[in-house]
Amino acid sequence: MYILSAASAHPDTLISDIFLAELSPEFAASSIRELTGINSRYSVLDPTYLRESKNLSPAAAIMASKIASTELAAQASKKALELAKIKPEQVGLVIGDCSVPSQTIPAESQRIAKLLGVKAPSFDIICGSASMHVALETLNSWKDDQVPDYVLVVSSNVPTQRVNFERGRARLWCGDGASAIVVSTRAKGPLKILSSKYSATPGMQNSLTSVPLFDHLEFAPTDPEMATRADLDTLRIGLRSLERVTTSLRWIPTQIGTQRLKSSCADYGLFAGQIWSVEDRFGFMFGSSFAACLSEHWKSIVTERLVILATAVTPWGGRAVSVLESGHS
Amino acid sequence: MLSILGMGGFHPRYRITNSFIEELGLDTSTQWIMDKIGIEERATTLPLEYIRSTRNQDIKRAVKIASHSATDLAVEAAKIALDRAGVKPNEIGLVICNSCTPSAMSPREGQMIADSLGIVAPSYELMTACPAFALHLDYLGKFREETLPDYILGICTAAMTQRVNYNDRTDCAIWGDGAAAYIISPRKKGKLNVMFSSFAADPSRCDAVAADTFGFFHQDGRAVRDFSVRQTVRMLKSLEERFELDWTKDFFVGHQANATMLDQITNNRHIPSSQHWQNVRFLGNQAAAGAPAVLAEHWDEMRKDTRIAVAVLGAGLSWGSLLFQVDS
Repeated sequence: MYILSAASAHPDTLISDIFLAELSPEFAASSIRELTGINSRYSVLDPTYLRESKNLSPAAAIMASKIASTELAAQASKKALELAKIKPEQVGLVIGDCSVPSQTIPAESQRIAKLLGVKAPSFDIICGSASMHVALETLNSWKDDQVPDYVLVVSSNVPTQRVNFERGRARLWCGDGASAIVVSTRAKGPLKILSSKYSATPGMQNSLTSVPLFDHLEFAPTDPEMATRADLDTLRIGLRSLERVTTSLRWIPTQIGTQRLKSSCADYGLFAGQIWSVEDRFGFMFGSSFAACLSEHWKSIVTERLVILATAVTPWGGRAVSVLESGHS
Repeated sequence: MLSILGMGGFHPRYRITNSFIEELGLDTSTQWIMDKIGIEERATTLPLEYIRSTRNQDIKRAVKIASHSATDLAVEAAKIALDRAGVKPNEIGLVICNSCTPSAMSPREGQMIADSLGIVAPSYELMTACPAFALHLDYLGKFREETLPDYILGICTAAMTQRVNYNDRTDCAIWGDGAAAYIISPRKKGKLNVMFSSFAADPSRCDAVAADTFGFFHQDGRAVRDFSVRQTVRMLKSLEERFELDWTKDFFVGHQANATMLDQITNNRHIPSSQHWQNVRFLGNQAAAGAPAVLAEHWDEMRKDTRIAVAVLGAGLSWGSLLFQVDS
């Protein structure tokens, strides 16, 4: 099974550390950078709206958004389809993900399919940062004749709609974005899926990050640290499946707290440059982060023979490990 | 071949009767309701006095005041399914869930249900709203057997009345709350063998049925009804031709949306009432939970070698069909 293409899309509003510091004196811009390692993130909310409202009403945020999660998803999907040279009518299945949807019915994948003009079965797999990994595991585990020629897997998340920009830490980390990949068992692409596995550990008691039904995203101060530890733990599990760690290995972690990983990865035989991350530019985008990272590094994926170990952790103890091999054009 | 080893259904105890709806002073009547949708009562998690006094204009308050959340309903249904299957929570290797009315955006229902039951296993939402029962089985049926765990917990849950505007006569008579759960195995023998499954969608009409995260449910009732009757008849005809169904012996369970619509379908296919199982008349439309809850209700009376055809559809627009053979 191959990933033929990866693409991402982001809204226009750039939220810099300076802008965040202007909105609230709780953290200075330099402190934000030091704490998160993030320079910028993007939001579907207008800067004027954020200044005036601090987004104190998540309900109002949906109406105030300049672009919906579904439209972002469609943008990313169109790019991915174009890159793969696939027309919408060739897509045989759409698997979607959206952790913070504007509508709980219908499924996000069905809304996306409508915008793209895709008439194919479509359903959502929602599992936080691990959503796309679960989709890959699904497709990799289905019988060959059950997988359509081309599958569009897309994740779109707009967590800034649920962020309190007056106080709290979620605003320091979260960013909006969508990403999409085109997967095929028939056509060969640059990225071969060697394995993908989602497992669980007892973890609900550790679940501090949550997005309540109607309220702001909750983000405890220790959450990024816990995510980092879980990512390293999952990296160790992933490394066991490889024969050896070489300089051609790349690691895509969950994309929250990545800067801490860069100082710890040497313990696992990796150097910082082997970590692929988009967190510093786009913030934490839940399930959209993984493929956004692939998209960012697509040139290397096409031209170099690399082994890519992608991990994703969830606040409820979920652990995903996907092993991919690039350079298969 | 997939097999269902146990099923459970759970509904809250409050009931919205047609006379209660009449007392709300909406421009409707028992006669109209019975003619158009054939529902006599609906199960609801909302106290009737709350509906009477507020008409459920504040859904945030509805969620707080409800007797059960979608998670609570699902946990109760899952306990029954596990008990019937003779499976312990720690034997479950995967949890898949569809919640039309999630209790939170993150973690989602599947994770919260697993946590409540003490299940440590991968869990995620596998979501398509009303036809989710068919999606779940069709999805699992595509896996290579060796990649699936021995026991999988599947759940459909919905607390739809928490999203109903009781000032609007069009939806208030339709919806009910409930959950259904099923224990599935790719290799252990169970009562219901899955002989056939299908799932499809036409996203071009996905706007016809929707629920805003911060708002009420809304649908294009006439368009959805016409689609529902036509598509269900199509699915049944296909099953009849392929499997030579015999409605003197086989059973039918449709999407539990509207009893009048189900009557149209059973009349079209000449399915006698004795072979038609339904619960919508006294529980209302419980979204994806409806059809599997019907099967759970009839679990103990299923007889060996009987076949049961299930056709479900809904938001997306999406639809799916199943054919079960009852084993001992």
